[in-house]
Amino acid sequence: MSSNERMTKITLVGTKDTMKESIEILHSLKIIHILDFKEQDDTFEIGKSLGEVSKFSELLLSIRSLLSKFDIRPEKIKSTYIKREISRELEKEVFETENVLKSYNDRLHKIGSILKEIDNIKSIGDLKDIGIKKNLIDSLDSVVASKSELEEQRDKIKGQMESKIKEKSAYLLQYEDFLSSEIEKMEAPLRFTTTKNTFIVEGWIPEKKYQELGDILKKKFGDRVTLDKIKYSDDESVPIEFKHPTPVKPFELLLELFEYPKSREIDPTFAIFITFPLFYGIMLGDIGYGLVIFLASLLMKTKFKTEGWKMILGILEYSSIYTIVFGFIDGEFFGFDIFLLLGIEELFGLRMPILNRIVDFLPIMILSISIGVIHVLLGLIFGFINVYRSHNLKEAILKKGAWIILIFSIVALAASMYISDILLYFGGGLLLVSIVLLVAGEGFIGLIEIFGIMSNILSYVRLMAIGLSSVGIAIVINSITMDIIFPKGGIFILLGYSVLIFGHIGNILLGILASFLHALRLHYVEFFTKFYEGGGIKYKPFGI
Amino acid sequence: MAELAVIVVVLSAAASVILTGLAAAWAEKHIGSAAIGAMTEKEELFSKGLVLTVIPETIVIFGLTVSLVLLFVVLPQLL
Repeated sequence: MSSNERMTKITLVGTKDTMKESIEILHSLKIIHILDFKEQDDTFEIGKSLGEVSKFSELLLSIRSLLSKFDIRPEKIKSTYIKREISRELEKEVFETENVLKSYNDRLHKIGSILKEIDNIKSIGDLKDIGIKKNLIDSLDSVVASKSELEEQRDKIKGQMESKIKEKSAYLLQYEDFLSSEIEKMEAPLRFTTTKNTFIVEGWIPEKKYQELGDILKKKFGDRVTLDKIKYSDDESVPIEFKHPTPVKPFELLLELFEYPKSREIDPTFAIFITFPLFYGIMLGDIGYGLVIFLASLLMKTKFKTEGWKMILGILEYSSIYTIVFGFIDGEFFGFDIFLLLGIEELFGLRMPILNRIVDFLPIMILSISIGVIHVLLGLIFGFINVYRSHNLKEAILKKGAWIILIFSIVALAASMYISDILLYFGGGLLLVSIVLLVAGEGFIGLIEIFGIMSNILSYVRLMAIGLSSVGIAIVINSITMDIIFPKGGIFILLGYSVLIFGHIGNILLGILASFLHALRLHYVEFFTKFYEGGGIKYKPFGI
Repeated sequence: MAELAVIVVVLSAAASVILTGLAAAWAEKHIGSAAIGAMTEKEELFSKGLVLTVIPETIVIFGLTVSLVLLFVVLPQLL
C-alpha cells in the first residue's frame, strides 16, 4: 500500500560564493521540495535575490501580455527551453513585435468602424429626398461603394497579423519559458536562510536521491557545500508524491479535493479506485446513460487537456463502465426495461433482469446496507492499522478494534433472525465485549457514538434511493411520451421526441452530478472519518 | 379498525417523504448560501461547498426509505 515515494528532510549548507551554482544544480535536478524560510533573527536572515529580477519580470510581463492578447497558447506550439542571452536586442524585439501587432490591431479597429458606418448609411435608404446638395450625396455613395475595397484591406491586414504572430510565437514562447525559470532561480534565495557568509536550504527530497545529490555536490564543490539528513517530528507535514499506476491516477483528484494523506497514513487512493466507480455504477445503473457518459468523456478528453479535467474525465470513464455493467444487471436502457422489450427472459440461466430497481428495491436496500457494513469495516481496519503504526496495539484495539467488534456483533444479531439462535448469543457476547472496550477506551460518551456508526451504515441506503429516483424520472419521461403524447399523432410526435431527448439529457446531467456527489460523500463522510487524518502537502520540486 | 390502520400507514408514508424533503431543502438552503458566500472569498472552496451541500440529503433518503418500507412491507401485512 505504501508504494509512495519516501521522503527525507535535508539541509544543504554552503558558502555564499557557491550559492549561484548550487541553485543551478538544484534547479536542473528537479528533486528538492524547498521549505520557505520563516523566522528571522540576528544571525539568520532571508536571502537576497540574485541579479536584477525586476527587469526580467518586466520583460516577462510584456511577453505574457502579448501572448494572452493575441491568443498564443503553449499547446499550439511546443515550447522548448532554449538558453538565451538577455540583451538589448531581445527587449527591442519584444517591443517591436508589440508595436507592430498593436498597429495592425488599430488599423483593423478603424476599418471596422468605417464598415459599421457604411452599414448605417445603407440602412437609411434613399438619400435624394432629404434636400441636400447632389455632390454630398455622390460622395456618400462613393463611400458606400468602397465597402468591398475596405473589406479586402481588412482581410489583408488580418492575414499579415496572423503570419506575424505565427512567426514570432515560437520565439516568444521560448523566451517566456526561459525568463520564468530564470526568475525562479534568481528568486530562490528569498526562500533560503542566510548568514553573513553562508546559505542554508531546508527541504525534502526523495530518499533514494539523497546519495546522488550528495555525490554531485561533493564532486562540484568539495567541502564548501554539505548535505545532511535531519530528524523530523511525526506531526510535520511531509510532502507526498504518489506512485500510482495509470488507471488509479485520476482518483488522486478526490484526495486533492479533501486533503493529502500524511506520510505514515494509509493512502486510500487504491481503495477509492475500487469503491468509487462501484457506488457510482450502482446509483446510476443504466446502459444508455452509461454509454452516453462514456462517449462524452472520451470526446471531452480530446478537447480539455488540463490536468484537472483529465482526472475528472478519467473518473467518469471508469464510473460509466460500472454504470453500463449495473445497467445490464438492472436491465435498464434509458429507463426502458430492455430485456422485456427484447423478449429475453433468461440469460446464462439467470432470470433477466437480475434486479429490477423498482420491484426489487428491498433486496437492493439490503445489498446497499451490506456494502455499507463492508465499507465502514474497511475504513475501521485502515484506522486500526494507522493507530497501530503511530501508537501501539492496545491503543489500536481500544480506539478502532472496539468498533470493528461492535459491527461484527450487529451483523451477527441481524443474521440471527434468519439463520439460527446460536448467533444471537454469539452476537450478544461480542456486543458486550465491544461495549466494555468502548467504555474503557473513550468513556461512557463513546456509547453515544454507536448511533453515529449506525447512521453511517444506514447512509449507504442512498445507493438504492438515488438510483430509484433516477430510474423513476426516466420512467416518467418515457411514459409521458409513449402513453400520453405519441398516441395523439401528427405534430405531437415531434413534441414527443423533444420531451424524450431533453428529458433524458436533463436526467443524465442530474444523474452525473448526484451520483458523483453522493459517491464522494460516502467516501468523505462515512469512509474517511474512520481512519483518515490528512494534512500532507503536495510534493513540488524546485525547477518544475 | 384495519381501515384506520391503513389510512395511518399511508399518511405516515406521505408525511415521511414530505417532511424530510422540506427539512433537507431547508438545511441545504442554509448550507448553499454559506458555501456561495465562502466561494466569493476563496474560489477553490467550490468542490468542498458542493460536497457539503449534499450532506443533508441523507435526511430525505432516510425519509424515502421509511416511506418505502411502510408502503411495501408494513402495508401488505395489513391488507
